[in-house]
Amino acid sequence: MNTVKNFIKLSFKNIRRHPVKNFLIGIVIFLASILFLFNGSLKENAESAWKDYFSRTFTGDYHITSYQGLDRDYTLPSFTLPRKMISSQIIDYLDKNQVVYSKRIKIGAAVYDDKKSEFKGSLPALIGIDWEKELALLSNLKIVSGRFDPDLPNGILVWKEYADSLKWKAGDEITLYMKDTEKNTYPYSFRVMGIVNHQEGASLEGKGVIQMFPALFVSYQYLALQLGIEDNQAVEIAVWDKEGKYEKDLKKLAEENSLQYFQGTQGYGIVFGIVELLGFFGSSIAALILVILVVATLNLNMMGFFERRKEIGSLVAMGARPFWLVGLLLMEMVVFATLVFALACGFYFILTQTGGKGIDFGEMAVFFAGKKFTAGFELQSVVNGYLTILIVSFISSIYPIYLTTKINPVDVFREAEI
Amino acid sequence: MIALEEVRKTYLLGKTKVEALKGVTFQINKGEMVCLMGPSGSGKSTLLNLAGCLDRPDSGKIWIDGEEVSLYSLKKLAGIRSSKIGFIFQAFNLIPVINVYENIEFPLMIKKEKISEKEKKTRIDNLIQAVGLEKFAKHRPDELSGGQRQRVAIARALVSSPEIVFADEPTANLDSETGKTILELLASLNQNKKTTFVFATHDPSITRYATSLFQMKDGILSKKEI
Repeated sequence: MNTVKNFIKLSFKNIRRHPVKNFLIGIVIFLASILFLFNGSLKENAESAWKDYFSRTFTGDYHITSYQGLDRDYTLPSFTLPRKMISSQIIDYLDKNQVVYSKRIKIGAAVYDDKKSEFKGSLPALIGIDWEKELALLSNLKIVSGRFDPDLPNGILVWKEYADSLKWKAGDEITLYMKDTEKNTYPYSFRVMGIVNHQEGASLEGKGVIQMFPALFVSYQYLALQLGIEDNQAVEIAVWDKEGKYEKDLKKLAEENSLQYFQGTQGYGIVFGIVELLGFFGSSIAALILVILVVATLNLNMMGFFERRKEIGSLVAMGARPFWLVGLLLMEMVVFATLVFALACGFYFILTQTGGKGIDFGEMAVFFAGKKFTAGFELQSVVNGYLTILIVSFISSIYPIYLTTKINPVDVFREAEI
Repeated sequence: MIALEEVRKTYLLGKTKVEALKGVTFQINKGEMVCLMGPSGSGKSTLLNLAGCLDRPDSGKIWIDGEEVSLYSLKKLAGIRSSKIGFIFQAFNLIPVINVYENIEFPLMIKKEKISEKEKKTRIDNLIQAVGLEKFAKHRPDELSGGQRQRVAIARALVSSPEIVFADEPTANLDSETGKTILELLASLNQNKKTTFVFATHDPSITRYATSLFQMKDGILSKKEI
């Protein structure tokens, strides 16, 4: 215990001893720490903003679906119903625990182009929902034209961007082609009762080949009846459980029943890609910083090693064993990295507290579902950042410390004489 | 206490082989004050390094307290240094970031055998008093004069109660008055504590305090009458 105490005491003294060298290493570690914390916040902001967006606009806080693999993707929906439905075990669990959820039928619906005599572009996701329940839960949806009519059984709400691309208006009669449970393709007629859009958030509605949100909402009961799905059966379950209280159990039940669990971003592959891209971007910057940090601190540590050769030679002459020297130098590294990281955390924390209402990334706001970026102080980022800084400092200290253990005091004293 | 038999050591200086010791044989008994005289490059420091377990000979044998240490590993030699040997270096080699008290304490931190905090404090305080640095205990080495630094180095060499102290040119960086004070201090420690001292020097004033005198020349050791 005393040895550790002595190591810490000596570490503080030695850190003060090379102010320029340690200031330079400190700046590199400080910047790397800030960037680590910031990077963690970037991905966290993107994830939480998109999660919130999807929760209130499309999918609930999380989803269980009987579609497998890419078929679960809302931007590339399947034209065929899945072979099995959501198990009663899951529905019973949700009912028993009074979890807020909604049963859904989702299927890819095709639009036929009479002029070109072919089906048009990509399939929109047609979602059969419980009107009463979901129009309250999907709080980010707003009807921008037309009106919701509960008495119209084949009424459909169409996402604005998609309606604009097909020139559909409220009141139009439209035909969608779908496969029923027998896998027969039939045309089904719907009346456009309203055009819907989000109230706030991202404007990702693409006009390219893959449209982001070609979603159409219809009555669950009407769609079940048309496709031959038995009452109370569901293809998907949307769950509203912000705190994730039931998430673990439901994930497990989904796995046991060979169903897929996912969150909003994972149901919209492109958005998932955006978040992942942001994570990759952040990790790349972090990796670059780490390389710079390793090279810079290795060089500066080598300088420190040569500066202290004579002193270390004296310690060896007095009987210091290699493990003792390694302990002393590692402690110096840990104390220094900890001090600088703590300083960086403090500085970053102040930034997060004085950041106002967040940073508007302009065109890049798409990364954060259209919201402003607010730098957060994430415990996980702090832990990850600290461990990374320690590991990097350790890596850049290994060689100088190894050289230290090989110091021969006789050589050092002879060099000093020269 | 220390015995060397036919000890040889050769160094490489660039591409040139330098035969620093050419078969040295000698013995030091407990409580002696030995003086190794000779010009620069005669092999005094090399002999001190070998006898002080800082280095290993190319051939020959070295015994300390009856143990043959010439073939010991560097780790084992470090153990012997921390438990039995103290060094006073010509250039003091104090640790610049810590104060006088902490510099003297340092060998006790390294020492494998732990001593109580109370005993540690008593030892350091007594040594600080013995070397007359009571007022400077909290001063760092760069705030001391050359003589004061050498006194710190002496106290540091003695704090772990070594049986033998090797001093390489202990007065080389000191004025004659300070050098005299330092030597009298070492002589009194030799008298009172029976600590063995081995000096490597070409300062003839040291011989006054020596109980044995040796002359080194071109790597060969010869005994001289006092």
